[in-house]
Amino acid sequence: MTAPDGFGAALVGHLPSLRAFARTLVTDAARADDLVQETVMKAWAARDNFAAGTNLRAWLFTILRNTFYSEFRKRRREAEDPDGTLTARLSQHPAQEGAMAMRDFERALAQISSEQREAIVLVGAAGFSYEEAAAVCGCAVGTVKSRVNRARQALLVLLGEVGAGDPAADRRMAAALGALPGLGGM
Amino acid sequence: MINSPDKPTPAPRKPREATSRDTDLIGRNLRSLYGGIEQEALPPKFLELLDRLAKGDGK
Repeated sequence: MTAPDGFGAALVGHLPSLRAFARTLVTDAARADDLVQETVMKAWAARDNFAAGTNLRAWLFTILRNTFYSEFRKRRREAEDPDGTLTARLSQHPAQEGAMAMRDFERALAQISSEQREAIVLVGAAGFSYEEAAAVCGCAVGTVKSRVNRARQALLVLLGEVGAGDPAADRRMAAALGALPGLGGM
Repeated sequence: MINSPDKPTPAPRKPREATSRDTDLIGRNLRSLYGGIEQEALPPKFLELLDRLAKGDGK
């Protein structure tokens, strides 16, 4: 295997974070990795367009996000996980303390709209500023702030209502989703 | 009878207010979920793909 050049080495350094972001957009781990691979190929093909010294991470996240919306969401029935089934089955953290609580959280995160999910993940987990997140999402800073706030509210509702494996709780969760403005329809 | 005066209807449950503990919980879970995935071993297929790209093989 050849050693990656400067661009390739920098790209490799961002792969873990790209995989994490992809996994929050596409909860099926294999499909999320497909999304990252597609991102890598597009970034490589467009590497001459990347201005050295600018924000490579934000550029890569933007490519991944655009790829998700332009290609992967065409297959949303396959790629997304509206009832959290895949999330529960494919959870990668069985040994960690509070695994049940984490699964509940993953289920809740999978239930909110992808726009709200990406906003809260970019700002709350990936460490992007609101301005950087807005650039990645191609929207106004205020829109990102609003999406983050709505995501928080929705997650609180979901986490307050969800009981693991409880069908009645799942029905309450679905009702809660329908009751919140901006949720449910993407 | 549902609305019998003998059986007063329970007051609707008040929506829970968000607390700083809730926000902390969300942030902590988000970072834990994200960080857990970041720490997973990188599947070899990614380095193989980059190797092929560097050699000009494309897919």
